[in-house]
Amino acid sequence: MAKLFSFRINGAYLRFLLKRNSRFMILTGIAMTVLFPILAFTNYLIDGSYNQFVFTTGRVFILILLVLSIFIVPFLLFSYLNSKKNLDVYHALPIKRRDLYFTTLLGAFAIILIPYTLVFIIGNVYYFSVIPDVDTILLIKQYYFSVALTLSIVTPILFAMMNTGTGVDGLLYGLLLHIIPSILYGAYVTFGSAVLLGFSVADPSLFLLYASPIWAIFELTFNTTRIFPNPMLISLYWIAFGLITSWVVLYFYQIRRSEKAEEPFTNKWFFPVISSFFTFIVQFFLYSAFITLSGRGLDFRTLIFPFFLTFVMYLILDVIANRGFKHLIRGIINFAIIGALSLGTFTFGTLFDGFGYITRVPDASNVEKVELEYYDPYGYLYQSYYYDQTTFPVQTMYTDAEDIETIINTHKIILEGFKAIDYKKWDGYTELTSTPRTDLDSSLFQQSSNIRIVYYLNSGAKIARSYTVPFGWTTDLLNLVNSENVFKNRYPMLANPDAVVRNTVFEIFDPLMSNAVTLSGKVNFKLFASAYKSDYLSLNEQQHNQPDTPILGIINLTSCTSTDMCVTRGIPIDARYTQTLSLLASSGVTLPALTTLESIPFIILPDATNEKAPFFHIQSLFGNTDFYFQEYYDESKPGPTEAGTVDYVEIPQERIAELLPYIRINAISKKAIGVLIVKTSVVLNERNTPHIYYLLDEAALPLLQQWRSEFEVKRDNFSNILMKVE
Amino acid sequence: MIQLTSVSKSFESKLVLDHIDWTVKKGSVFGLVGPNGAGKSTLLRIISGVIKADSGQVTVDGEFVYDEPMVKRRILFLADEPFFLHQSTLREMKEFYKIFYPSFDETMYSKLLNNFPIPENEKINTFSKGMKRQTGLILALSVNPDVLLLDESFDGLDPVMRLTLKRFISREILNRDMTVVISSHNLRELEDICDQIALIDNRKVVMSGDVDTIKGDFHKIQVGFSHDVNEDIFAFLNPLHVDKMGNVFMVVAKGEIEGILESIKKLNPALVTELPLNLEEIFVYEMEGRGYGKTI
Repeated sequence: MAKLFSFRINGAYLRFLLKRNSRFMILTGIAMTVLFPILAFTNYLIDGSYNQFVFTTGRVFILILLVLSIFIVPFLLFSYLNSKKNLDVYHALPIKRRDLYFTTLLGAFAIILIPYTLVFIIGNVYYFSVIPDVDTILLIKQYYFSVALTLSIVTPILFAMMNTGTGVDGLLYGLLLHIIPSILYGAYVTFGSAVLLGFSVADPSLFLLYASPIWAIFELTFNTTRIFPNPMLISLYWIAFGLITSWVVLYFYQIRRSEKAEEPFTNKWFFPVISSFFTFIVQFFLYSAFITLSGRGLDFRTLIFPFFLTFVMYLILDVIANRGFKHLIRGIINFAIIGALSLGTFTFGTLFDGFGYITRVPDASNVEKVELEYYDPYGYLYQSYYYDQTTFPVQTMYTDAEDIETIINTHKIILEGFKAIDYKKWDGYTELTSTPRTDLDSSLFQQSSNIRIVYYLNSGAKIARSYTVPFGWTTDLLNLVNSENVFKNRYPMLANPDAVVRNTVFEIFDPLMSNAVTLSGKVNFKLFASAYKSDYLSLNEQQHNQPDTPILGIINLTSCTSTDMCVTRGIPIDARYTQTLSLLASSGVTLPALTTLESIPFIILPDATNEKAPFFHIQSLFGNTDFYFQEYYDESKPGPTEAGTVDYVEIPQERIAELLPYIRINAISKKAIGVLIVKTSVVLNERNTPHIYYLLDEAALPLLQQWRSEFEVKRDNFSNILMKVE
Repeated sequence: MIQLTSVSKSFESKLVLDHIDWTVKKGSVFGLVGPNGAGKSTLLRIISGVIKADSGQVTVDGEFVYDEPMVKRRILFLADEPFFLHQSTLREMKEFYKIFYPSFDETMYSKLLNNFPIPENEKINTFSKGMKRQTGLILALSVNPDVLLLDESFDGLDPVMRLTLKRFISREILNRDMTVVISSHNLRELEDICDQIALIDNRKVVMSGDVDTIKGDFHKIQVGFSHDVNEDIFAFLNPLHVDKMGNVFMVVAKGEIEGILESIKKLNPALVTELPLNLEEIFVYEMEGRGYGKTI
């Protein structure tokens, strides 16, 4: 064993190799210089200023060139392996084979890294001199990662060279070894997406991070936000991989049949093993991809074409390997075996629900915590703005036993829903029907919700599932509304006030957004955040979802975590927010009164005689879209056939105050009542619409009935009404 | 001394060398002959440590060779096609060899360069085949090896160069007790330079010894008869070869010449004359006797 790790570097030969390949290093160095410092300088000449982006781009370019040279250099230094006469000389030399191998490997390492290191230093010294506040540690890390992973990219190429007899075959199979992890991952993902209901991967790049050194070198070097898994640990993993595979390659180097140099393969098992595995995973990938693309669900006729496509691919590999057609029959037989195996595995995996993958729901007692991503069509629980997530990254991790139970139950309801429709025949696109599970109107339930659940089990394992389902299947999740996680999503700046460097807008409006009073300089932001959070969490889900108290005001808040990373929220308060109201009062803030609205307010009237008539059931200041009017219209119900039209009245400005005791916001109504629409120029979030919709409490019905007789009731479709509000 | 003990080597299922026992004494020049594919090159590659024998032992002066740098420093193997680094010059190749062979002799190198008109700074890939061989030999001899293994290295050299090299090698053998093993198909050349010879056939060394002893063991006799006789009458000699032209026979046989002549005389020939036999003829007749090339 000790002999295995003992080797001596022949310094004289190492110097000889560096001298012999100095021209290659100069060429690589020039190319890297052009693509990094010279690129940045050229950009400066054009723009007259420097920016970080061009330097980052330069670093990406030189890393690409580094990877390219990793593919070239082994063929320059180990080319003697592919010639019998060269091998005769090299192996007759008075140097131990392991010493020759490691000296050459070190030479390759140096030839690859010397130009990269020089250009990296030159480029970044330039970067330091022109860009302020450079993160030096980050640059050192980037250099470390690129160097640390070099060996792990070299060794698969060397492994291919040790098993092949020509440079072309070495290169072909070196490339193949490097792309196999990506295809394997692609096959896994496409198979899961096409066949496994609820398929989801916990971290999409995790597999490749551990399976593909090329992926990992770019991911570790440029994904600077990754914190898990620890990038340093991953780099150590790849260093270990590189060292171990170096010794594996040494073993193959020492047993390499030199008499078979110049033939395609020096190891008779290499081609069958690699080509069979490659063909198997490509088949799996194509089967899944064709099933997805066909949109026919699981139809085995779809597999015929990819089967024959891979047949042609395999025969081409076979013909290249054998340099002709002399083993064609054997190739066909081999392919038939591979095809049978892949089809068999695919079929079994499909018919047996991914061997339990689909139906598995963990028991609550085994779950430590649950991560939930949930995007309902109304944005009621969660924001889905990417920009917001970037400014305030929020990880929604539920640890409360009751919350975990709620999520698990929702998961079970989803599986029951799919079981009822025979999901294997579902094409993934056709709208799913839903049976209402609550007393909310069924029309509400047909909207799609995206849900992704990641269970963290006590054992340390993770189970991730992802679904797109009718909203009605997930309404139990609305009970999570009073959890801290939902609060974090709704008001990230209030959940994490320490991250806020400043508030560009901090003011309070009257309930209908007609008049504002600034809070900046009056109210301590951190105290406000604390008070509001405390008030919010003290309300139960019933109080959140069916508020019985009119809103008293809306706080308009824009908080920033840096110069250009800001988030805006409209934050409603009502009488139940006692600590907040108390803080405002103690800070000398008087709630602003209603003044003149920007436009004529409209009220959509409930039509009790027409069940078909659309109505608003859910309202939020947070959703991407406030409502889906057309979809609400329900043909199956009795009523006039004039689709998409509603009764409405225009209210004079001076009468609108009468509605104030009845307006609700962030509410879900149990039944159709009425909606007040006003226009505002205040942008409360990234919605495109300037309208705010207020749900009217049931207690407003007598007043609405009075107005029905007092004002002219008109009927129109909703988009026309909105235009009138403009 | 090179010692091979029961050395066998197969390439996949094909047995190339089968339990070879062979000894090459120090300071001798050994010629290695055999038909194409007999295993000559394989044998030289095993001795030089390029490949490992499947079984048996290979030692030089009692030390194993394979993957043993200290022993391999004293051995130089020059393959039938000389190797040069891509786009290299003779000077670069000299640097390459100097890295691995501390015994590399600059004086010898200069001397050889004076004898062989090879441009030191020109790319070797522009050289003719003969010049490449000369380049290989210059480098090989400059290494000053104790054991020089030449695999058909004289092929492609013009007669003057061949002679120069032969002289050079002969001098080195005298001066330094160098051991040389030369494989070649050109037996006339081997005859001039080698003092011992070995014949490999059918995966074994079938004949090995001093050139003079071997030559003394093979005889070509011309026998003439005054009457018509059949060639079968020589069957008792187990001849390697019999040629008939009218009533005149040319017989090649192994053994004591006196005994052979005496036996032939008992057949009452009109003429009996012993003809000279060179090494190439011995090789041809011996191989014919083993069935090699007989059908053509």
